[in-house]
Amino acid sequence: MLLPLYVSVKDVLDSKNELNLLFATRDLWPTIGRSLLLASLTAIGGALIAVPQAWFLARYHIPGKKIILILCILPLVFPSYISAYSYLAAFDHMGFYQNLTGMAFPIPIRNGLFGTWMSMTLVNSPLIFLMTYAALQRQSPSQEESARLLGFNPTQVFFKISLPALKIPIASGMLLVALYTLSDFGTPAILRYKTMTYYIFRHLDRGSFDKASFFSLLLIIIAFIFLQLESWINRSQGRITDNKARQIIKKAKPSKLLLIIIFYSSTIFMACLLPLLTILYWFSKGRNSELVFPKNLFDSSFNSATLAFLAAIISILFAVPCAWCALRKKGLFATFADRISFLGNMFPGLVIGLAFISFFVSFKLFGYSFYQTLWLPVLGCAIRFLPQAVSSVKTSLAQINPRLEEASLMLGHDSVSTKLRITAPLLRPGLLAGFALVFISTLKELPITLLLAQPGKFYLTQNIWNLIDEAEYSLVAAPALLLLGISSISLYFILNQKLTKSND
Amino acid sequence: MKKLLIAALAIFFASCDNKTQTPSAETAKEYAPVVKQNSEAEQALLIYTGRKTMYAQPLFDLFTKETGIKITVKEGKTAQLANTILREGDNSPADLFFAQDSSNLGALSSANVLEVLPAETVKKVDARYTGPKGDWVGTSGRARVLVYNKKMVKAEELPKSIEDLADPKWKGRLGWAPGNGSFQSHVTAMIKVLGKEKTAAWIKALKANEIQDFPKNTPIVKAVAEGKVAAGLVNHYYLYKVRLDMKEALDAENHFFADGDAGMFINVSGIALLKSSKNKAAAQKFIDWILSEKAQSFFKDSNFEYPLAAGVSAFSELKPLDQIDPIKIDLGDLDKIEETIQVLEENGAL
Repeated sequence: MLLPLYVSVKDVLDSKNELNLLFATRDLWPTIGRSLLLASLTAIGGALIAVPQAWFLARYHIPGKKIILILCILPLVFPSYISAYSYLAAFDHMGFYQNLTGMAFPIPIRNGLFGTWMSMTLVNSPLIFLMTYAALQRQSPSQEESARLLGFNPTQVFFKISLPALKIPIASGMLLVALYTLSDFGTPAILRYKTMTYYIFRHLDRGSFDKASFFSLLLIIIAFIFLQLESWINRSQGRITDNKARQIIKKAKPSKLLLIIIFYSSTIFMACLLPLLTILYWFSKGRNSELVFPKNLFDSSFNSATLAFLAAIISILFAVPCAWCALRKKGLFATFADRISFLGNMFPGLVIGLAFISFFVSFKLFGYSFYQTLWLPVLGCAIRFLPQAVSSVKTSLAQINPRLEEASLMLGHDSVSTKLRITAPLLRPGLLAGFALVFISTLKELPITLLLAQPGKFYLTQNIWNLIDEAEYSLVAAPALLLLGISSISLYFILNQKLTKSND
Repeated sequence: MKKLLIAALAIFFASCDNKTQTPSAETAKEYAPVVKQNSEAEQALLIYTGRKTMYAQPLFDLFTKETGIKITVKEGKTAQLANTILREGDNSPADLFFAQDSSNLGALSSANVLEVLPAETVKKVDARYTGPKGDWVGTSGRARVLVYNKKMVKAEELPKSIEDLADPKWKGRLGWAPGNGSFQSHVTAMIKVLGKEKTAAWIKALKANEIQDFPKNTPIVKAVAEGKVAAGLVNHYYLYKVRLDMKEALDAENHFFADGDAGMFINVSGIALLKSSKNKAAAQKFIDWILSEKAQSFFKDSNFEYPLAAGVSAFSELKPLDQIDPIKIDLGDLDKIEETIQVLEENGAL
């Protein structure tokens, strides 16, 4: 797990004489500044979209609630680079928008903060939405009612009572978004906003591995700070929640309802429909070309699915003991297990990929070299997404009352059989959700597959990336749609679990 | 659940058997004849290719069909693969390095990881397009040209020199792809020929002329054909590819800058055999094959590139290679791209 950190440090130290030079890089501080600016603006923008989305959905009668709920979460299946490409294909000159209206889009989408910010915000806002919505469902309305009785008007209630109570889920959602934004490289690379990941990727392209490592190390440090913040926020998670929350769902006035519906349709249009429409538009434009369905489409989907499957299995295998130790055991080792599983969040895919190449080139275990085998991308993705698996398993495990296990032990089952017959079945939903989460994330994961793909193997993500890189907009459509299709099916499994849970 | 687990394990082992996985007795028996056949013929060649496989795969397939030698590819950016090879050193599993752009071959050559090729192989290609040590050969060439719209640019307006594009009369009429590798190689060559300051001034002037940014060459050609910009800097073959793809006559045409001008630049794709290769006979065979008439015709017919060997003549609409006098520089020595990037960034092009 610590390998990426070790390799980055080693790489940077190896090029010691250049270290001063690296620090003197003309663009170093502005680059860090741009990364942080983008991350924070994305977090803010995401909150501005997601919090009202969650609020209205939880507190008002809205027609088509379930569908809206799904559509609010759906952007999660859009890999950031596909969204970025679709906004580029929509708003860049000679894009969808210009072809339809005959006018150029007023704000340039490329070479600047705006496009990257918009794309990242729309893709990531569901993370904040999920956290806020879950918290809203647990929140008791009694405080709000008291405030109303004491003479606050609804606006005052929202800002003085409800919002402060949501502080923690919103803040941790925002931090997560900031972290994702910080480590994402596809969007800045496509829309050309010069963040740290942009430079890591450029340096890799040009083969300057040491410079890429240098930026990776910086990225790790910043991500570490963000994670500390996150765990600090979560530790202070208060006692505001009420387990048996009554749900009071209001009827909105028609005028207000109209506004709410306009709000939903516009955000959902921008985040889901527009990318989809753009992809379909380009798909229809290119349908005559023989290249629309690349020959290796099937192979690469199969490879991607296999990779995702294996990574999900492995990360679940690691997640169970991690979660177990974290929740049921005490002491140094438990804390360690809890922390270490979180490290994956700290290492962007680019960093893991780079570190694996550096390390495994010459590493041999009993004469067997792992270099350029399937092991590398599988392990890379498993490490990267372990935190997702662990948190799903943890959620599930926390809901199992240890008394059930104790009862089974008392009734004469030994510990192994108890775990198999009592714990495992109860844990199943969490395992499945964790599996599906890692599966989706691995399917979408670009840098690790780009860097670690074995010779002769192609992954769907590579196909898509190459075509975006070649600006073959109409040829990207088929693989992109396929990828979205596969991830949507997996998302369905997660949602199924989440939705049924919320119905309890 | 159990079934799922078994399936998982099956897939896992099926997909892990890249190299050294020891097959169980049963499978060994079953596959024994196949395995034997493979080792009697040659094992698969591993090619690190900077050329996109979506364009190069048919070529590899053709080779396999003719010789029975299988090819495995690892695709990436040329510079990245070159540096990967440097990092891998003696452990490199690659046999051949197929560079999209010759610029990084020089670095590999000076790091001594390339095998010197037999004189008769090197001789097949004009010395301008091979490595000075004879350790790489060019496989196909491309010219940097100005693609222009015939309705928007008059013949007498066409510039003799690429430097003429700095003239204000081109304001708002030009397009380029500053992030593109071919363009950056060209700028690197320009810096060698014109010097850094002059090149920087030229870029600044083009920016002042409100030159439009494009992500790649193909969109430039399309924009020129549709009259959205009057002219753009591209590789010569994109015009013919776009025309083939659109299945219609275009208003666009290629213009070559004058002989000896900094704009008259020919760059090549090149191939090299790695010293660490354990499969040199087959690799050598591939190099000779790619310089054969069949392969050279492939570059001409499917990519409209300049063939460099076997006497294959260029695509009929193109100015023949021997009538062109491009700028003379060591094509393997264009990997100092940091300076180019810096110049481009400082003048607002990137």
